[in-house]
Amino acid sequence: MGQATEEVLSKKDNQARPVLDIKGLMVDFTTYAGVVKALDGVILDVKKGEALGLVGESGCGKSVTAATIEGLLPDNAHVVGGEVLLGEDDLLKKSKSDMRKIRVNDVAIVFQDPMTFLNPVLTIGTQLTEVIDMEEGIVDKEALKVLEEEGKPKPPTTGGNASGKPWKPTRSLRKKALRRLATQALSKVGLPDPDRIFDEYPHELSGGMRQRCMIAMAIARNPVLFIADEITTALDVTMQAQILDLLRALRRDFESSILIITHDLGVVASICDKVSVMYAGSVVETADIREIFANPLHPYTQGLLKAVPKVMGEKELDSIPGSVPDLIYPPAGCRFHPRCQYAWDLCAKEKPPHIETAPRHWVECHLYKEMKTSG
Amino acid sequence: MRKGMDETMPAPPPKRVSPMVAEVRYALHLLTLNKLVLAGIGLAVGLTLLAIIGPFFVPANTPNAINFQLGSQSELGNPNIGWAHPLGVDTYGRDTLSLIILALGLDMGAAGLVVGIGLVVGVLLGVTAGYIGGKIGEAIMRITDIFLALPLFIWALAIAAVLTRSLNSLIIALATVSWPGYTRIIRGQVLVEKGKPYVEGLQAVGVARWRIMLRHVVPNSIFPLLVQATLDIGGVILTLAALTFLGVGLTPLVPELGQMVSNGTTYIQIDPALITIPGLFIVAISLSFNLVGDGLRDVLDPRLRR
Amino acid sequence: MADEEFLQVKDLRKWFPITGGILGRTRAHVKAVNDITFSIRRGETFGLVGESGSGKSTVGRCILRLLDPTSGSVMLDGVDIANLKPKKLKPFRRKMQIVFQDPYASLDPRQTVKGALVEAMRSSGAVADAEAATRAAKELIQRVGLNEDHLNRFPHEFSGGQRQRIAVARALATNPEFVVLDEPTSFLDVSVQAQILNLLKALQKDLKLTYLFISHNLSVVEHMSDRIGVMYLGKIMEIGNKKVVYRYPKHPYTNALLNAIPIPDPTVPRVPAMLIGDVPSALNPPSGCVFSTRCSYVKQICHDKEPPLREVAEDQFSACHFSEEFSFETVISKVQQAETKRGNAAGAPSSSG
Repeated sequence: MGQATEEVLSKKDNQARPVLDIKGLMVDFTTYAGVVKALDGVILDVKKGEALGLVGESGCGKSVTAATIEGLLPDNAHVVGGEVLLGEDDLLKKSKSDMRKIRVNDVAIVFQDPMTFLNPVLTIGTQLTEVIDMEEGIVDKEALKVLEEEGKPKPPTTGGNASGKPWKPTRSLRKKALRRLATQALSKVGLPDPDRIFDEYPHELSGGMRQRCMIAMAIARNPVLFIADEITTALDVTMQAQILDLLRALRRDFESSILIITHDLGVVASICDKVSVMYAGSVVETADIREIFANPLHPYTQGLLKAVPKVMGEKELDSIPGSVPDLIYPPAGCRFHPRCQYAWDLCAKEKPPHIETAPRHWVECHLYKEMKTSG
Repeated sequence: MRKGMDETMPAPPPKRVSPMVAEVRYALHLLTLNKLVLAGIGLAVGLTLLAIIGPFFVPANTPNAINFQLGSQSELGNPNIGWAHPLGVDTYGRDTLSLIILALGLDMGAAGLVVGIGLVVGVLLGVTAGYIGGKIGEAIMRITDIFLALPLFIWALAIAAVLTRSLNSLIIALATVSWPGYTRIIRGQVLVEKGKPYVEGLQAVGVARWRIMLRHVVPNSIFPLLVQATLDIGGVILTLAALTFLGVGLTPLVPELGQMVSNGTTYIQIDPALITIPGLFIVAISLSFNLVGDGLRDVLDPRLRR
Repeated sequence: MADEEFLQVKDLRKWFPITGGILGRTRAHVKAVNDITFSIRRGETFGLVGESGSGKSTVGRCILRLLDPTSGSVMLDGVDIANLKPKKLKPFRRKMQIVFQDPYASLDPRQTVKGALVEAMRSSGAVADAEAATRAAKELIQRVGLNEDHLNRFPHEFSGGQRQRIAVARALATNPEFVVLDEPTSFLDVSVQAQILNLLKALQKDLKLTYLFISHNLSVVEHMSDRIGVMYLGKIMEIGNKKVVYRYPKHPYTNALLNAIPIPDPTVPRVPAMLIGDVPSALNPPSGCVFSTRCSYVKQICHDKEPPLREVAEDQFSACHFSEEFSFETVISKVQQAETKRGNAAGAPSSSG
């Protein structure tokens, strides 16, 4: 675990403090066509052990948010405001080398397309052990276990060996230990025959298996936050079901906090505790999973839920008229107002504030100003 | 929510231009980002203008205005050669500057023709090979391979040597060796475009095969070819100059850059300017078109694109 | 609605040869479509579902003769179009059209909308001259929910949903009777998808079209189709009326597939994944029943003998030796029943979702 993680877990009053807390994040992209105001004040948080679903259609900014958390924004992106707090640290203020360490140890991300993430010329085993080996001492511990099981004499753990240096396992012992750790990780993600997969190359595996390998690499370091960016979008329904089962099992066993980014409301309903709905660069509604399906408040959320086919034999789907705005020239005030049937003149002038309308239910909409429960 | 089919256009849409115009504009913008490329473009444009407009200021009979007496004094720095001849005279007493201007036109025109013919033939064969494929396509590609297997210069030399000595022979020889490269490029592009759904859509609608080929596939695949063609102009100039330098194809009096270098080799110790000046112009044309082609290739590079 | 068989596919096969070696000999075949038989009634929407590698897109292309079938027949209004020579095929091309999955690649980027529509009309012979074509194009573009000044624009100026509308307009330009919809909304956002699906339904009613709706998205297929066919590894596993198949399937694969759909309702109980492992390669499909390697009810006969597609309940066909012994009920059925109970208890008519 990394330093940030330890800080998060060591504080006693951490039960209330979220693992991830994004406050008013604003990000712009400079392009040939103009400045894309991609994120316009994103507010969200993930508590310890919680699974947050980040839902939105294309262009809403969910992938940009993930990239910002991970410190993976391209060169033409500029953070123009807000904070991204991992525990107590503002990730936006970290240096590039610090972010690299954090990416390895604290915040793991898994993407939609495993083929671009995995190195095609290295075996799965090589890539997985590379990640495992980053943790100090873990290989040595495992090496000792191997010696014990094989009945070989244990080296002195204190005082060092003959030349006075602390004991280090031989190369072959290291290899054995790493291989064991890796195959354990692979079977933890439900891969049958992990020993064989250790020696295979990414292109020899199917899409679902590659996705599992990516997840194995991501959780190998016990990150405090695990981000899954559209990881089931490219998979078949039956494979998706298997991956979702896996994520549910991992949550149970590891208490990681998960940020699930997807456009599929069905995926969200099957695995998340809480949902944040994004539209054109801000989070328009956040609520517990049952609450948001039963009682959606923001007009966009309502429209979205009515537009999704629910396999219930509905006759016609309600659609939201219009289309997603051009973020180089976004609408003034509330970015959703041109498509909203409830809009009035205030909506075109002022961006609505982030209001808590009920315990753990936040909306960004002028309709609900009166319902503010907390100041 | 209104149960409706209506959809509004995003606002405000950019000025309506055809994709070709928009692409050209964007390409020009990208080109201006690289100073070296800009310099190359400037040089290429300058030389082309000189080649087109220059001949109007040059007396038409310059190639034949032989004056041996003047020519024998052509060595560097000879005070007898006044400012009427800013670049001096060649061994036949003809004004070097006028010759250069005429030669530019001849060389660039010839290169343009070579590349032009090569493009037309190459595109026709390449599109056929790519779109129709089958045995015809295989046959075309095998012939292309044969041409590409041998060094182009050797081919050109052999053909030129066999034909009668004239500029046309040179052009034919060079055109014959330039089409295979284009065939290969455009065949690859056609294969890519063929796989795209819009071609299937056109087939489904019943559009004739030749129409799909010429009116849809070719315009979409031609850009990389134009890049290559621009780069090739530089190369063709060099090859042309090399061939004439070797004495294949032209007679000594023809104003052509390679020929001028060839003429000057005998006097290299007395008057190196006879070689260096036409040589510099060969380099200039070649380099400038290479830079332009390079710039165009960068424009195509998807990483630099929007 | 007349119950005539409008399109009959019989024993359709599409095998792609894999060549190797210097002489290019055929070493093996990818059996993308392997003896498919089904029929579509006039005016209905037949949903063809399957996961990747099932061959459903290939079926669509074979019917339209964008690919030539290896063997088998496709009867359209009594004529076997699978085996017609290209010249004879032209008049039939007009009758059937296709809308593709990718709205960004299905239109020539250098052609205006008007150009694309007019070209389609004139190539198919649907209009007499340029004037008639322009008039028809104006009418058509409005029918799909766009307006006249969109005609002079280029594809890149439109959003994905609008491009799909244009693709639909282009398909309708030839006045077809039958349209193959190959994953038409997979690349679109949910809200835009709803618009396009509504449009397709309205058009079907107005123009009396017959649809073959190909998709891997089971919720969308459920919404759009009347009958569905389930494909796996080049073969049909089950065919039947949508309401019946989605609730009481007769094939174990259909059952596993339907129970895997993540339903956008958090109160629904989660069913653990029924299928493990991956789809085998179409180069070397399992012997006997192609599903035998992953089926939880597999017996020896499943490896030995390929189960024929047969009628196992009224108007429900299944390719399984044991269909009569199964009485599957999917989680969808249970949820629909709970929903109806809730609606009845509240005294209000059950909502449509």
